[in-house]
Amino acid sequence: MKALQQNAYGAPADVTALVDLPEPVAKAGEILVEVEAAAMHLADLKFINGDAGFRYFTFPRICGHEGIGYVIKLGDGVTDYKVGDRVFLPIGSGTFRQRLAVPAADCPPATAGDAKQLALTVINGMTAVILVDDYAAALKPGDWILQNGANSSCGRYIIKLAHDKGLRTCNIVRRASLIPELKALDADQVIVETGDPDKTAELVKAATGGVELSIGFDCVASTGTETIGRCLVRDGTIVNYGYMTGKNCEVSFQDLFRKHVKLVGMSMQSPRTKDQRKVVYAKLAAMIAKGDLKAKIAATYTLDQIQVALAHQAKTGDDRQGKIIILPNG
Amino acid sequence: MRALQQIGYGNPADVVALVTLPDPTPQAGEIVIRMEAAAIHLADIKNFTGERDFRVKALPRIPGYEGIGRVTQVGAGVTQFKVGDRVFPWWGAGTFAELVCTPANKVMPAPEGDAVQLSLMLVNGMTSVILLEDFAELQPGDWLVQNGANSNCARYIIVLARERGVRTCNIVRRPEVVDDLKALGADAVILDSDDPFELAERVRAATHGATLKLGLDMVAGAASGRMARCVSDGGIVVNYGFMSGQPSQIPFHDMFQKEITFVGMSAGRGMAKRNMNELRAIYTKLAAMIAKGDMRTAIAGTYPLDRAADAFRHAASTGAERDGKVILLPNA
Repeated sequence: MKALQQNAYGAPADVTALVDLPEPVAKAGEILVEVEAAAMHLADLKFINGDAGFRYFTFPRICGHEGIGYVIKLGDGVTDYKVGDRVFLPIGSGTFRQRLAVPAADCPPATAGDAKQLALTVINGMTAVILVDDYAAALKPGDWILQNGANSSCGRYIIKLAHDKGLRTCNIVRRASLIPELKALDADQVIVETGDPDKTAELVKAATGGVELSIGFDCVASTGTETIGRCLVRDGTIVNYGYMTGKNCEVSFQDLFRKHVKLVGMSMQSPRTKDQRKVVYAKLAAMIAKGDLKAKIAATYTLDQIQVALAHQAKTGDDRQGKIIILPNG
Repeated sequence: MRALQQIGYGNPADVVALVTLPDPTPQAGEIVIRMEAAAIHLADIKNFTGERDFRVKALPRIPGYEGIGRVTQVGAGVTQFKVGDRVFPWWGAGTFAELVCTPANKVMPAPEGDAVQLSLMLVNGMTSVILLEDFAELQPGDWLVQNGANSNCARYIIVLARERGVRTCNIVRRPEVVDDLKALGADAVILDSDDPFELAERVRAATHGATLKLGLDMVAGAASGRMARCVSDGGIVVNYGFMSGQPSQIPFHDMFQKEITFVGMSAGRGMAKRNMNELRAIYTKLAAMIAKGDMRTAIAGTYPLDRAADAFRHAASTGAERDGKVILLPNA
């Protein structure tokens, strides 16, 4: 069985290798899953590179944080699933491989539908739900959410999930070519980043009619964070959940001191039980299967092409144009 | 009387002039205070240079946030003070002058004691109390971690935390200040490191792995991120200054993996949460502690009004060039 194994921290081509591992066996309570599609994330690269704050593995390890597959064998005592059922794999289970054995209890059930799209449910989907439902819980219909990196898969989910709740979104992107696309997804406003927090804030103000913006989602970091802070009202909250720039979040003293803007780190450890999470996954999966939540897919790769996939993942903007999906079984 | 007057924005030497104004006459409810000492804060310098959001509303004006002096005249109807009483004017009275004329109702009685030390109570003292009380529930035995630990605020925090049984882990840049901070009551004093992980390890070792709910950052720039690395998961970092002059920078991995909350602090906000009686009670206690010598600050220099340009230059410097606060002595 083929798998992408990481042996150290460093450049992907130097520290990862496609290896042939013994076929996994489902022990009691486990299911053997054939992986259909596994989403690649920026974090996968950070984990491979061993960036500061992303070094907590013992080696060797199998890469890949999420995915979808179907059950091909049941371990003793498994009653929740039968062979042929589709399941989401647990976060961080090492999904860049053909098959893996995992505890049945850790796998939420998945739906029928496009495996490439559904492969994004567990991380990007849940992130969007946590941001809209938990961090923006205080908003009333008609209120605005501000976000940057709005063309990311998470950003696109947020547009849709917010729209469904009657919330409006003001979306900051880097490329004007994205405006019609995001508007078609029900984005209320789409602004092109100017690179200057004050100027972008002026555009946001004009786009939202000067209403008070109490919350902004930041997946860009660097001056992207500062820009969100500049746009927010007194006591507003910036929720950071990514750092596309690879740089630190920046917040200016004026926004901290004069406006009491708060910067919080978003947590995947939302206060949801396993059963509540299953409900969320089921709702997301249904929306994704129906096409209501749709990510742009930049490319799909097999495990044999995984180094090309990792190099593609390292690119941004026009050079990537969406998510990279690994199809471990072709 | 002589007073400093700010007439524009720019280099303090260019925009702040020593002027002679008519001596003030107190109206009903006012008193005149002869200033003994007036502290210079970094915010004063920012007001002069006119940095963004530090522009004052109207010029010309007499600068000076705080100080201490003695009553020389009382207006009609003033019963709470008499000539000769030692007092603290309220925030922003324009204390860089020989005489300050101000409504008596907010002026607070001041104890005897070192005027230079007492002249620092109003701004830094209140800031320290708010930082200790408003952002985390600290129990006796808990630790907090702070950078810029040789600053006046941080030194007050060391003393006020100790009084509450809260232990302080203090980050400094210069080894020379370690002994002084320990003598003041600091539980741990460690040297800063540019490497957040190295610094966090030093903090962890110094605090014996204790949970750190509260980190106080008055440096900003990369130091904000280093502080985020030092506090425990779910902790809060409160920024209350920007000695580095840089925007606060916090790495994503601290925000995300550690669920850090990063907030700004202003004394005005904290004071608005407290009524006047509560504020006065805080100041009465602070004044007594300072007068007794329990809270003391390093003084880098004292200057008369006619050397204000030197004083401001000194106040704008950092590190070994300014080992402590710079104080104006308006009647020296």
